Amino acid sequence: VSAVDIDRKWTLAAAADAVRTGETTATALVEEVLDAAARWDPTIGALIEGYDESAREAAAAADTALAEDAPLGPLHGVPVAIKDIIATREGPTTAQSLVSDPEWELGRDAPVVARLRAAGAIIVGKASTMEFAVGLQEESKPFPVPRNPWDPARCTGGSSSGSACGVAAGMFLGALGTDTGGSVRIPSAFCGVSGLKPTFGLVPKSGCLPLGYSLDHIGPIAPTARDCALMLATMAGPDPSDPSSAPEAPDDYPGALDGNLEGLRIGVDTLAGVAPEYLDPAVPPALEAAVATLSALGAEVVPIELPLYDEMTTADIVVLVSEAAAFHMNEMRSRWDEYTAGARAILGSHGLYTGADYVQAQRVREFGRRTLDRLLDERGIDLVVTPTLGLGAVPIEEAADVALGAKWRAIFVMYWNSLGYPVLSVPIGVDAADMPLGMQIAGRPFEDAAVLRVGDAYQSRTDWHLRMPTPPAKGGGR
Amino acid sequence: MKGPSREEGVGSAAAARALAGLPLEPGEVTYLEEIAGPAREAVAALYAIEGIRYEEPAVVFRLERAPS
Repeated sequence: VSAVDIDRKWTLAAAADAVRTGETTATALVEEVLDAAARWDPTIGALIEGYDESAREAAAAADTALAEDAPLGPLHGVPVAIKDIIATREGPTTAQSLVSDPEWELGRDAPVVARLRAAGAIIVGKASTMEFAVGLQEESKPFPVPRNPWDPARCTGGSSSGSACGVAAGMFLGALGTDTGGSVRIPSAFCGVSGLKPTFGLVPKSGCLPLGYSLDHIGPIAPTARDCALMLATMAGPDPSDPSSAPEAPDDYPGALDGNLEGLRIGVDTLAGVAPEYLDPAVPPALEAAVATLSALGAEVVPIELPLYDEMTTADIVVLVSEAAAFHMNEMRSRWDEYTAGARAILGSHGLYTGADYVQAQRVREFGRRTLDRLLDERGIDLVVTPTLGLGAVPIEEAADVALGAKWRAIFVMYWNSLGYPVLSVPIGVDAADMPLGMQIAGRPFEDAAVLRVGDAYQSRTDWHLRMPTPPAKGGGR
Repeated sequence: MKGPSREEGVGSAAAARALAGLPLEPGEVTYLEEIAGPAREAVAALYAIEGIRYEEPAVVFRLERAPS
């Protein structure tokens, strides 16, 4: 595979418009993505299972509905994939694990999947993940080891690995990921696509296997911020089946994308001092150029230093590990050898923390929210941007050093999980190896529309989101 | 199922807690020992926000040799 740029044929929003206007059909779209999957998936391992036949049937039904002038949802005929820790009625949810219960939610849609389906989306498959959204994939297990379509010798990041690399490769036009410690934004940045961690509680997460109860978010991954807005508009809103579901009604996210950043004050933290030894030299100038674009779009840009960065990052780790261990306690003791080594390392580290530590971490999260809110209020700052990561995708053999080793400090995402605030990652450039780099755009709680508005405006002036890797020849493999 | 590979107590109570009850591989024991110190320092910073001085509990578990 050579990473030569070609223009992306479809964004999710453009495809939805094209189906509606008759420029294409749902059947044609589904056949296009299935063809892309046939070319790409043997190389990049984005799917645990493809639902080709049910997708074709759904596409035919969608085209019939269009021909009969039936009411159409905003995602009518659009092919999407679901991270395989979220239940879909087409098949079992594996969590990419030998430990998972194959009967769990079998034959049922998670509420968020049901909402996508009701909006007309076509489910084409279940996307590969790190085991239970934590750890690292292993060749020794009977599941795909995802590879980066920009260079299959490099990792995708995770844990929503297949969701991001499949969108990058055009195997589906949007996907669901989950984000507990950056798992939407990390692979989105590594693979050069857009990914949103919505405000905590905005999207119901029942029907999704938990990692950290108080940190988990389900979010969209797609080529553009506009695509994420379109998906979020169908995904968001209260649901009584999720105790942490927020009562707030969703905004008109697509309607907020007016391309105008006049009147917005954006704080910029380069986070250059967090892990300088691992900071790729391509990151600061890429962020600087992106910030200049935001300024040219009318935003006032000011420097900011995120308060309690280290402490809020630690709080995310303590809470994530403790809550995950609570969920996995029985299987950790009875089926330890069946977990991947990466999952064992992280789950096993729960013993480093006491119950008091967990409580203190939760208290620090609230203190951190108040501290940041006060700073933003005092300085009149509406949103914050930072790099998503301090580096591009690393070779697969070095992935453990990012997930479990010293380089994890160059992953700038966990701060926002502790807060629960909305964050969008968008592609802003490439490193010396032509690996994508990302920028986070973070906002106040339930101001997801503002975050998406900034991302969409940025993408109206740039084309990083339209680059695609060149596909391998049909029938190609590793 | 493999049992703990060490008969000696480990060097920190935090790492020992992580070992308790889990059939860890030797490499996993080493990993947890290596990250225990930095993890405790990071957690101490959470308490320090409120001026609380954190001291690690003095208890150290001793692990039994795994059955062969």
